[in-house]
Amino acid sequence: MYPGPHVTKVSPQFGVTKNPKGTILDISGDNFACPGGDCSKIGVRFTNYKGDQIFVKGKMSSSGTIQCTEPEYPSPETLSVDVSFNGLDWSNDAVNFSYVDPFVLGVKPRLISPRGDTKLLVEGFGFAATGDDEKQQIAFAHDYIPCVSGGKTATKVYKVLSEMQVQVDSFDQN
Amino acid sequence: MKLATGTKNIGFEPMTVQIRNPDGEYDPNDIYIYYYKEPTVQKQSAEFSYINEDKMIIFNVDFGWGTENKHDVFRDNANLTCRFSSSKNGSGIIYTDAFMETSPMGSMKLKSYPDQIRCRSPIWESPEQIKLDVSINGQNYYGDFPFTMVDPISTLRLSPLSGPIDGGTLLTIYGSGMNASIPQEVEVLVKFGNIMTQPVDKSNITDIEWSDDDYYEELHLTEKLVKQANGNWDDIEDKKHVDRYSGAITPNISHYFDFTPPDVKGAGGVIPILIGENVGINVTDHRENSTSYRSKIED
Repeated sequence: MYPGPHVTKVSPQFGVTKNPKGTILDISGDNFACPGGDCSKIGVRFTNYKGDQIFVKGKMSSSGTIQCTEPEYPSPETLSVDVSFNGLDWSNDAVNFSYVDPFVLGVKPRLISPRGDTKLLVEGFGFAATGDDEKQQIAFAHDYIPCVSGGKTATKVYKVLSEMQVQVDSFDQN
Repeated sequence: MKLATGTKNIGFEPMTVQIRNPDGEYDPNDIYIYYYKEPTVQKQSAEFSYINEDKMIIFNVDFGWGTENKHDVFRDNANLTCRFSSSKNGSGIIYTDAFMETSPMGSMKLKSYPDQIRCRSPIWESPEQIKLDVSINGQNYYGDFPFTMVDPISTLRLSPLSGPIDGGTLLTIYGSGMNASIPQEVEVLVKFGNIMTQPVDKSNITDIEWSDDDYYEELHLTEKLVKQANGNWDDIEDKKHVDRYSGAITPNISHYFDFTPPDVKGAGGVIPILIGENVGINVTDHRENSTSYRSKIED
């Protein structure tokens, strides 16, 4: 008998659906130990709200966390993440990983004040409140190229109203 | 913060809003937004509205059409709105839809661009001084003009209720709001059906307060008509202050029917009597091909 694993954190907590960059997830927790020193059966399980499951192989890192490749997933949703060291017994700690794939369908209003005091309501799907301002940013683009200000991409942090709506301040034109 | 694309200021070029994904990339889309040059909105055409009417209000506007504000972009994307804000109650705000129009109406066909915004006043709860402004996008407002909601204009009773078709009967109209206009000189008109209007001589308006007995006596009603009057007693009761206007002269109905429509059977009958004011809208003269269509400045 040995104590079962518990997952406490997944990093990063958000990813894109097709994972074009092959992002590696770092899963930390308690009681992470390979039984009998055999780490060949480490697995990571992702479960969606319907109970559908995706299994990927994991490996133990030198810092004692489990690493796996973020699996591709077809839609922006939140899945719970569990680990197993023997392929049979899984943690069950409701630690989540979210797929964020923002897609814009509409913006209101379409005419904006040069003073920068127009609040834009962006509608679409795949928005998620990440709690991380770095990940909740918009840019204005012309010919698909983000505008710049002071040599850097001009961005604003948006507020997530729902998975289908976000609100963001506009830029001052001048 | 000066927005630029490359080294060029963004100006009034179409733009899109791109959302950054967790990989740090901005996904493109084709939903365009536009900065606009702020319009110059002149004071509205009327300073007041009766609280029970939806009055046409006209703002003359310099939209700055040209390279900055493009008419087709406004036509497709503007959300024109009038905002009526109560001074008593911060949450007492009513929005009404507005639209762009050329003046005179019809000159759009002659390639003129809009130079007016028009909207209608809302039904308001009680008389008060309010603020009125107008928006291009439904969010940023211009104007902050004073506007007054005044007593409702209404017709409660007429006396007498009938008269000869030759006209000339002096009519007494009982109602409210006839003296409420701002400024006081604004004409109030009486209209008999669709026949004609005549301005009310405001010196003939008196304020009265009725008791039950006075009410019936004042109206010179037969017993039969008292029954009808009873049906509208609530109207009277709600309006302790009532105006009495004696002076509208009934028009010559037979003369009117002689010229339009010409073949009407008989000239008697019931006609509605309206009381209100004119809103001046200019309409241009124009003709199209051989089918003549002509209009001129009308009520």
